[in-house]
Amino acid sequence: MPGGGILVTTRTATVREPRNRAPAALTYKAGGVHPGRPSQAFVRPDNETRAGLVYASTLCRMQKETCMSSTVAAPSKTAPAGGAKGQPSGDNRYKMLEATMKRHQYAADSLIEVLHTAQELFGFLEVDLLLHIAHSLRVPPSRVYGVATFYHFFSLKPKGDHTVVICMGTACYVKGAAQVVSAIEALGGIKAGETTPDGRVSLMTARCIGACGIAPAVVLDGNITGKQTPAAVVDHVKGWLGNGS
Amino acid sequence: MDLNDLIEIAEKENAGAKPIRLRCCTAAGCLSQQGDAVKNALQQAVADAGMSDRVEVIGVGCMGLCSAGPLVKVDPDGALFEQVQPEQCASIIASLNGGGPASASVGSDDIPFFSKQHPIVLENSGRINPERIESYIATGGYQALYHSLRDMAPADVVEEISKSGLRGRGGAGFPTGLKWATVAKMTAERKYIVCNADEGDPGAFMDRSVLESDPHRVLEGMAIAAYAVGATQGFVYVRGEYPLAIARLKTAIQQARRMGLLGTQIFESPFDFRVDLRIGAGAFVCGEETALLRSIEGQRGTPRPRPPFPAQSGLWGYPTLINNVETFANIAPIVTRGSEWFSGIGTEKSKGTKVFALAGKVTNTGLIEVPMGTPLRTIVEEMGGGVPDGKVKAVQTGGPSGGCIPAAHLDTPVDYESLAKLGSIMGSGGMIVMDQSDNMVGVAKFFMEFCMDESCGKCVPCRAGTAQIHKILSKITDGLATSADLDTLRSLCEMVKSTSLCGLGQSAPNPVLSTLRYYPDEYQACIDGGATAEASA
Amino acid sequence: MAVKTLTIDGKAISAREEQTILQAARENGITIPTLCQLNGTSDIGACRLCLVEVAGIPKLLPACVTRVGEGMEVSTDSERIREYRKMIVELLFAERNHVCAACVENGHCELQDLAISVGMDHSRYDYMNPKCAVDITHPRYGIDHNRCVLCGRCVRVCDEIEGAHTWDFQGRGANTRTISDMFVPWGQAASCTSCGKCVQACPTGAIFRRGSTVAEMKKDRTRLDFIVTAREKKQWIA
Repeated sequence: MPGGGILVTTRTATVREPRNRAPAALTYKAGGVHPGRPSQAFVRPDNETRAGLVYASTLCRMQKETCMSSTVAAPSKTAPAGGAKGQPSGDNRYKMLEATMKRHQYAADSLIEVLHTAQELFGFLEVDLLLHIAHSLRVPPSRVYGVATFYHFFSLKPKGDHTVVICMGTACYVKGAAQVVSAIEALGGIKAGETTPDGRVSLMTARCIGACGIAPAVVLDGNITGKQTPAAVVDHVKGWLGNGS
Repeated sequence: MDLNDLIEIAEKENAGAKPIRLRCCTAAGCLSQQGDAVKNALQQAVADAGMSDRVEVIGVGCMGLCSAGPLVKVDPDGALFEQVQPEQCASIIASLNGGGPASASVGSDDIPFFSKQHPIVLENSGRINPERIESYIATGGYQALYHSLRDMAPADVVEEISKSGLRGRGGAGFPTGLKWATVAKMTAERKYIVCNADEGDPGAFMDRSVLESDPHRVLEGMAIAAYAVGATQGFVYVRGEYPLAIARLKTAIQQARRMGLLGTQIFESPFDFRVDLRIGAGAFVCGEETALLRSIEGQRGTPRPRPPFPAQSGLWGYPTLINNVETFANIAPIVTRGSEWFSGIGTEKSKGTKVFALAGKVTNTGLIEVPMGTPLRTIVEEMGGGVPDGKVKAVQTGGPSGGCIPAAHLDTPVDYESLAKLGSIMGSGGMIVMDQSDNMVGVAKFFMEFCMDESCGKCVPCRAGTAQIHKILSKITDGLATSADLDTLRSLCEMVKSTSLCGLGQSAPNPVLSTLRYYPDEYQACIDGGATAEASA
Repeated sequence: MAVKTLTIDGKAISAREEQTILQAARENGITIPTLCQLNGTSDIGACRLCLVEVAGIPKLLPACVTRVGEGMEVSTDSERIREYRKMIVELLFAERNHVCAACVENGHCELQDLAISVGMDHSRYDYMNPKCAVDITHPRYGIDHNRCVLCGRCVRVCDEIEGAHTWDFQGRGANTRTISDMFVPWGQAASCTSCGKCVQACPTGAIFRRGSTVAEMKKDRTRLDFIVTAREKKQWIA
C-alpha cells in the first residue's frame, strides 16, 4: 500500500465558483491578495494603498532575488521561468507542481493541497520550494512557513532512504509500542523524528494509524505490519542499515 | 438516472452473482496481514479447480474481527475462516467441493462478538465491494437519496432526522436534527456540507473502516444532508494517515459522479451537489470543527471562539454543516426505514447504535456496533472475550478527551449521559481495555503528552497549561513529586478545563482527572515510593 | 440601532447590540483585564484573561468576542475568575524567560501590569526555561523571543493595518514562535516595511526599538487605534 502516493491526484478542481465569488474581505484578508484575479493581486480595497503597493514591490523584489518563478507577474503561465538554484531547467517536478496549482486556480486556500503535492514530488519542503509556492499562490511567505510547520505531515528536512513509522496510539501504547521505539532508537543511535547520520533510515512515530486491532503496528516503508515485537522490527531495520539495498 | 435505472443496476448486479461467494477482507487491518495475497491465492485456487463458473472471490471491507485477520467468509453457508494464509487457500476451495475439511481454522459467527451486534452503519461492511458502486446499489443504495429528492421536501428530511433522535457521533452528541435545522434556516447565497473524517483519537478507527468498507453510504448521507439544508458543495476532510480510505473515497466520488448521483441535476431534479476531498496533514486539533474549517481554507488549523457556530458562519463565512462520518452513515437508513424504526433502538436519550473500536488488552479486537445502552461488561467481557490472561482493570473511552472507567463500573450502560457521569465521554468510539499491568499514572501521562504535542498554541491555558501538567506528571512518575504537587495538578486541571478555547484544551485534563478520581492510590504510591515501574511514556 | 440593557458586576448599563461585553464594560469604567485584545485589530479570544461569568451559562465566556445580550448578568470579578486569571498570568511567566529587572519594557509592560493587578508575586509553576533567540538583525528594531507571550498582536497589526504580513507563527503548541517571512532574520525579511506598528502593538518587551532606554520604550497604543479610525472615517480626506 503506497504511503501517500494517492494524495497527488486529489481532484478538487471542480470547486471553482465558491472561491472566486466569495467576498474578498472575508476570504483573502490575511494574504491581502486575491487569488482569482491576479491583476488586482496586491490591492486590498479596505487597505492603505501605500502599504499594499509596498507589499507588492517587496514581493517583486523577492521574486527577482530568488528568480524562482514568473508567476506573480503572469500567473497563468504554466512553467516557471527556470534557471534558478535548485531548479534544473526542465525539472518535471516543477511542471507537475505547476499543474496542481493551476488546477486549483492558484487559490490561496489550496495551500495545503499544494504542499501535499510538493512533498510528494520532492520528498520534503525546501525553503526555496516554499517561496516558489508562496509567490505562485500569492500568499505571504510567513504564512506558508507557518502552515508547513503547523502540520506534522510536512517535513522541511530530507527523509532517509527507508522509513520506520511506529504507531504510538493508545492501543499500540498499551501493547508495548514504546519498547519498539526504544529498541530502534538504540539500534540506530537516533531519536524518534531523526534520520541516521548515513541517511539510511528515518525513525518516526505516528499518533495513530487506525490499525488498533492489530496493535502494535509499525509502518515499514509504507507497508503496515501488525502485532510487531521489538526484535522483529530490529531485524528488519538491521537489514536496511546493513546492506545498500 | 432514475429509480428504475437504480433497480436495474441492482438486479443486474444480483443476477451476476455466482452461487458460492468468498468474501475476503481488504480493509487496512487485514491487508497488513497479507489479505491481498490471500485474495489472489483464492482466485488462483478457484481457477485451478475449474470452479470459476460457480465460485467467485470478491474483496470486501472490514468484517470487524481484526485480531483474527485475514478473514474469509463463505456465502451462503456462512463459514468464517480466520487467520488465513495464502498456502491454505487451495484446501479451502477443495473443502467447498466436499474435498474434506479445510486446513484453515474455522471460526463461527455465532460467537457473541458477532451475535450481540446490531449493524446499521456497518451493515454493508464486509459484504459489499467498496470499490464498485454497483455493489452498493445492489443493497438498495442511493434509493434513500432518490426518495428524499423526489418524495420529500427539504423540511421533511430535517424533520425526519430530528424525530429519529440521532445525535452527533463525533463525540459531543449534539442533536443532528437541530444542527440541520439551524443550517437550513440560514439564508445565504451558498452553504457547505463538511464530513469530518479527521479521526484523530488514538485508538479509534471506526471512520477509517467505514470509509474503506462502504464509502458510498457516507456520500449518500452527505447528499441527503445537502438537499435538506440547501447546500451545493461538500467536502470530506480525511486524515492523511488513511491512504486506503482516501483512495476508496476518491474512487467512490468518481463513480458516483459518472453515474450522475453526484454533480448537477441529480435524479433529474434541480438539486446539484458536488463533493471534494481535503486531505489532513497530521494535526489532531483539526478534528475540532472551527480548526477543521480553517484547515480546509488552507490555513493553520487553529480554532476560533464559538459563537458564531459554523452553522451560522463556517467555511469562507457561509453557513456550514459539519457532521462526522458515522453520523452521515446513519442518514440513509433513517430515511429508508423511517425515524420511528431508528428511535426504537437504544435508550431514551441516546438513540440508535454506536460503532466502537475495541482494542488493547482484550482477546477479540476489532470493530463492533451495538445498540446504545449496552453495558460495558457485555462489550468487553462477552463480545471482546475479556483480557487474555488477567483481569480488566479499566476501560478507556473517548481517547485523549475521555477518561478511564474502572472495572467496578463495568455494568454502566454505554450512552452519552452515563459515560459523562463517570468523568469520561462517548468520544468518537475508541475503547481501549487495560489490565492490571497498566499503570494509570503512566496512561494519564501518555495522554497528556499527546495533548501537549497536539495543542495548537493559540490559547494560553492549553499551550502552557498542558505543558505544566505534563511536567508535574513526569515529576510524579519519576518519584520527585510531593503531595503539594498533587494539589497543584488538580487545580491546574480544573483551570485548563474551564478556561481553554476549544474542545481539545477543555477535555485534555479528563484522563488525569478521571485517574485521580478512581486511582488516587497509584498517584500516592508514586509519591511515597519514588520512581514507578512505568516511566517510559 | 438596537440597544440592550444588562448588568455587569451588579451595575445596570445599556449597550448597542453589536458591542461586546468588553466594550460595554470599558465604556462604563469597568476594567476587565486583557492581553491579546488590541483596539484596531480583530479579536481572537486567545489569552483567556477576559473570561467572565454570565448567569445561566455554565461555561466562562471571553468578554472580547461575546456580544451583549438583553438581560445578561455578567460578573467579571468572582473568586473563581480571579483565581483563574492569576493562574494564567503565572503560566505565562513560567512559559518563557521573563526577567523584568533586565527588560527594556520594565515599568510599562502589560504583562507586568497584569501580574501586579492579579496579585501575583511569584509563579507556582516550574519555569520551562526554553531556549529562545534574540534577533537584532533589523536596523531599527529587535525581537526577543524570551519575552514573547504569543498574543499575536504583531501578526494581526502587520496583516490587518500595515498589510505586509511579515509576521506569522511557525510550529505549534509550546514550540510556537513568531517568525518573519520564511523564518529569516527580521533584517532580511523583504516584506517588512519597517513601519514599526508591531513595536507599538507588542504588550511586552519582545519587540522593541533598538537603542532606546527603558524610559524611552514607552509604547503608544493609541497610535494604532488612530490609524484605523482615521482610515475608517476617511479623516485624511479634507
